Parts: sequence; structure tokens; C-alpha cells
Amino acid sequence: MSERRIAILFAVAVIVLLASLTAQSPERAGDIALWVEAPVKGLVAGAVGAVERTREGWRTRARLERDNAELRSRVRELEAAHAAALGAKLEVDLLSAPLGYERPADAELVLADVVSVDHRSLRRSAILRLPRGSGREEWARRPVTTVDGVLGRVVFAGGAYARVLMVTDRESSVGAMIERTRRQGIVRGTRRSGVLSLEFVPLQAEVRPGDRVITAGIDGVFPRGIPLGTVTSVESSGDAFHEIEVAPSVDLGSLSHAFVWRTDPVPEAFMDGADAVAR
Amino acid sequence: MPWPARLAAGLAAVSLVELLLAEVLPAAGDMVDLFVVLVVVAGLSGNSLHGVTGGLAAGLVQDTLATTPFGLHGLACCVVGYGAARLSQRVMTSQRTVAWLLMAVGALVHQAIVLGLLAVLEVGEFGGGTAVPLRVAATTAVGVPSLWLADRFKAWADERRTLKEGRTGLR
Repeated sequence: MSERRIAILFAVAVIVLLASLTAQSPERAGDIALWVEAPVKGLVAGAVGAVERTREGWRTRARLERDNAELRSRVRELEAAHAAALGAKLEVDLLSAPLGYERPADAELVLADVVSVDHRSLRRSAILRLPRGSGREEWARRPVTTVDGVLGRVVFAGGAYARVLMVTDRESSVGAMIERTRRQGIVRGTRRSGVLSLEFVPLQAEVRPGDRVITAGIDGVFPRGIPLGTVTSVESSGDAFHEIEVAPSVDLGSLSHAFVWRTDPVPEAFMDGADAVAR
Repeated sequence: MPWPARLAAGLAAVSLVELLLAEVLPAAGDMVDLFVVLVVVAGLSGNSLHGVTGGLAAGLVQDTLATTPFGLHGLACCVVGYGAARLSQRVMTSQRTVAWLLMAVGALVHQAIVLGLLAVLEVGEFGGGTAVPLRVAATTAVGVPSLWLADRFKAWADERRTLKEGRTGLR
């Protein structure tokens, strides 16, 4: 008989004797079976977990590779856009120099808490709490924005508080333009809360829903280029101008903080035109 | 004399001695495990098959005589017999130190298996603790001369057979 067969015979004898001994102790048989079973089950569970982790790792890796490729592509696009913008700035600077044009200095922004918002009544306004020590400053007519765009302008300030006339108020008017075509008009509030109207845009001008509307910097209060909203509908039934509805870029239902611009508006005397001259 | 017959004779002799010791000198009967001696001798003087079958047979006979669960000594002796037979193929068993060592290791392994299984199965007691080293030492002390005697007996049997074959050849 070969050594291998003898080894098998030996193993069989040992197993049979162990089974026989276990059978003579039934109360311990369950424990012993568990001792044998638990490591095997643990081993199987560990192997299954390892396979699952490996598969998940491969999936994650594939997803990351895909995202990475997309981001690389996006970075290339942005780099190209950045280079184009730099080129345009250089060109503007070159053209501005002979004209003696001086760009206005960057305005300083003051962060203020929004303590009250009234965008339902006829007078749509908000009240801001200004930072300490700013009570002596002149805040009237200064622009107020949020991170999303124009909120309005200060109409009254007293002590630590300032009242802001929001862009949605029917008495508010902001010089605006369509970003895509640079066509200018005036944005006013409407009867409906949360809807603005872009007026004085002639029928010849091309306007499409989805066009971004930004400040034009022609009203003496708001600097150029701050988002006002997005065109939602355009009707051309009027005689000379489009009837354009604009959704404000600022969500008036979730106001918490706003920025008050420390820019000096054009004095009212200049804005009043002939009347001011007469005075 | 064929190997099964020798094994049967050895088993009969060991059983007889164990029974006599249990009656006359119970302490000595408990101290020396003659079945382990027989198993180690069978394993060292034969091949692996002799080790397994000899160990199994000796163990089962011992189980019949003992009060422990049936199969306990059978398992322990089977392991010791097979281990001794496998070792005998790798070491020089004729050296005295090796013989001592193999006998001591065989007795120790037997004790370890028996005590371990009794503890795991919780089916009986077999006098553990300090009795183990004494039992191993006593079994080794009896086992080494037995191994020497077995070698002598084998040499004598071989010599006798050779002589017999020589005489037959002369005729």
C-alpha cells in the first residue's frame, strides 16, 4: 500500500474516531461543530467581502478616470477661455490708454444682516442691520447685492439699520442690459411678486428667453455687470417695445445676508437733470 | 511469524500485564502506559501501515479495558503509531538518544491528545496536572528497554531464519 493511501486511511480513522467521540458527548457536539463551522464561514464571508471591495474599487476607479478625463477637458477649455480673456483685457488696456479712460476702483463691500423682508405688500423692501461703527456713514442710494445678484438700493438709513428698496418694488428702476447683445433697457418691479419687467427694449432688438440680464451701469447707482435676472418670456405685441418678463437672480425667499457697496453714487443733483440745473 | 500475529501476541501480552498490574499494583498500572510502548515499538519497527493499524488496534483494546469514552485511546494511539512510523523513516532509531526521545515524545503526544479530548468533550477525567510528566517519564523508562528487546528479538529471529534457510540450502 502506498504512503498516500496509508495517509488517507489514517485521516479516515481519525475522523471516524473523532465523530464517534463527539457522538458520545451530544451537548458538546454543537459547540465543536460551531468551532469548525465559524472559521469556515468567516473565511467565506471575508473572501466575498474582499471580492466585493475589489469590484467596488474597480468601479470607483473607472468612475474617477472618467471624471478625471472630463475635468482635464474642462480645464483645457477654461485655460483657453482664460487666455482669450487675458488677450481681450490687454486689447482693452491698449485701446483705453490713448483715450485716457480710467477704470473705476473696485468697491468695498460691507456685509450686513437681513433682519426683515417684505416682498408681499405694495412696498417691497428689506431692512438690514449694518455693522457697528457704520452709523455715521452716508448709506442712502448705495447698491445692495447678494452673492446671486442685485437686491436693491438703500433708501433710508438710521443708526444701525438701513431700509432697502428691492428691485421687485414697482417704484424701483435699474438700468439694465441683456448680456448677450448688450442691448440696454430698464428693469422695474411688477404687480406680481418675484417677477421683473425689462422695459424700453425696441422690437428690432433680439431677445430670447434664457438671456441673462445684468446691470448696465447707467443709472448712477449700480455698477456695470451685476446679475439682475433671466428672461423668462418675450412678447412683441406692443407698438415699439418688447414686453419682457425677467425672473430675479436673487431668491427673495432665502435672504440672510447682503452686501452694501461703499461706492459713492452719482449725486442726485446731476441725476435730476434740468431741474437740478435750475435750482 | 507474520506481523498481524506478532501484533496480536503483543496485544495479548500487554493486556494481560495491564490487568495483572491493575489487580496487584494499581499505582504502577496507572503510571505506565504499556499500550503506548507497544504502539511506539510497532511504529518504529514497521512501516506506516503497521503504525496506523497497530496504533488503532492497541488503542481500541485499551479503550475496551479503560473507563474512558470508547475511541479516545484509539485516536491517540493511532496518531502516535502513525507519527512514530513516519519518523522512523527519517531518523536513525538505532541510536539510543533518538530512541529515548521518540519514546518520550510518543508518550507525551498520547497524553496531550487524551487530556485535550477529555477537556474538549467534557466526558470524563484522566488524572492530568502533575501526573502527566510522571506518566511520560515512567512510560519512557519502560519503553526504551522494550524497544531494545524488540530489536534484539528481531535480530535473533532474522538470524534464526537465515540459519534455517542455510541448512535447507545445504540439503
